[in-house]
Amino acid sequence: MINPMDLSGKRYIVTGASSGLGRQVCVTLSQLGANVTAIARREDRLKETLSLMEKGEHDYYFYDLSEVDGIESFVNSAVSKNGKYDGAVHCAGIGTLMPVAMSKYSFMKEIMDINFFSFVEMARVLSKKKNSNDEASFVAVSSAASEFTDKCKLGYTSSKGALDSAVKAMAVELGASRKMRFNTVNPGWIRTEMYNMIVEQTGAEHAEKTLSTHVLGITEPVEVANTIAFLLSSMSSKITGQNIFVDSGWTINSNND
Amino acid sequence: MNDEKKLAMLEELMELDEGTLKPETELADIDEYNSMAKLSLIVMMSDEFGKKLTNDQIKSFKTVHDIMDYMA
Repeated sequence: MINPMDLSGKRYIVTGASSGLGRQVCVTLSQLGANVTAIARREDRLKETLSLMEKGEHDYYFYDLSEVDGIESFVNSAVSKNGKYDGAVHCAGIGTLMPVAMSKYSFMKEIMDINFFSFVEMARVLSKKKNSNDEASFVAVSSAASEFTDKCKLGYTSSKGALDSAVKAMAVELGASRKMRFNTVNPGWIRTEMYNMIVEQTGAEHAEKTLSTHVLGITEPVEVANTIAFLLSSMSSKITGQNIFVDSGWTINSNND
Repeated sequence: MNDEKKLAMLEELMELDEGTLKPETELADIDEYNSMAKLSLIVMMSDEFGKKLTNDQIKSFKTVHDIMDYMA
């Protein structure tokens, strides 16, 4: 019997590894045999992620991705320690709700730095021939909100829409020579800390109303992590430059109001 | 922060004319106190006062004075 999703011997960078979806991606990739370099800001929580993972040649770095200028030297040091990578998963992101009138440049810059620019910079450096193997696969966690937005989501929606477009440009330019692939996953509401924060701010009724339009109900982190693993694996070898909606049927539901 | 300053901040947040709000004004009587204003209030409490505000707390506010108390 073969495991078509086998990632044995592969090595990936995973950002946002201390919580929510990023933590689950680390666990899922380790269960499929991959070696993971986990990145997050919070040391104690990152160590907790490591304790949940299957054994492997994993390592971790504490790094604040809003320091975009330092990503190149950080990636270079990871490569010199571990050798070439087979791709990366960008789960780090913030979902701060902010009305348009209060979405100042400083706020927009912060959300774009963490959600968007850090991915572009990491992929730019990691996709160099000296840093990654041919057929490397990159996945950025976008959001169904890139197409299906709401009040107070100017920053969030813009940053996710930028990711949706960036993977297309990277897929075209970097796919031809070395068969590298770039995709996003676009989840609906996932049961994570970000979800809890939004419920706290907008109220349980708002959450119930939104979830009622998710045909298959709320998404668990592992259900998105599985799709990410598929996009990293050779099972998806001709899928590139795509935005894969893992949104429980939210955005195709005509009962949305 | 004095009450005039607090009232001015709330008027700006809801885009009301100066002097529109009084501490005793009932929030239910302000058309502009809508879901957007409430989310703006969360941001303002966090940015200007370093205070966390939840939807449940917002629901407990009845008058402008209740918000001003929280701003203290």
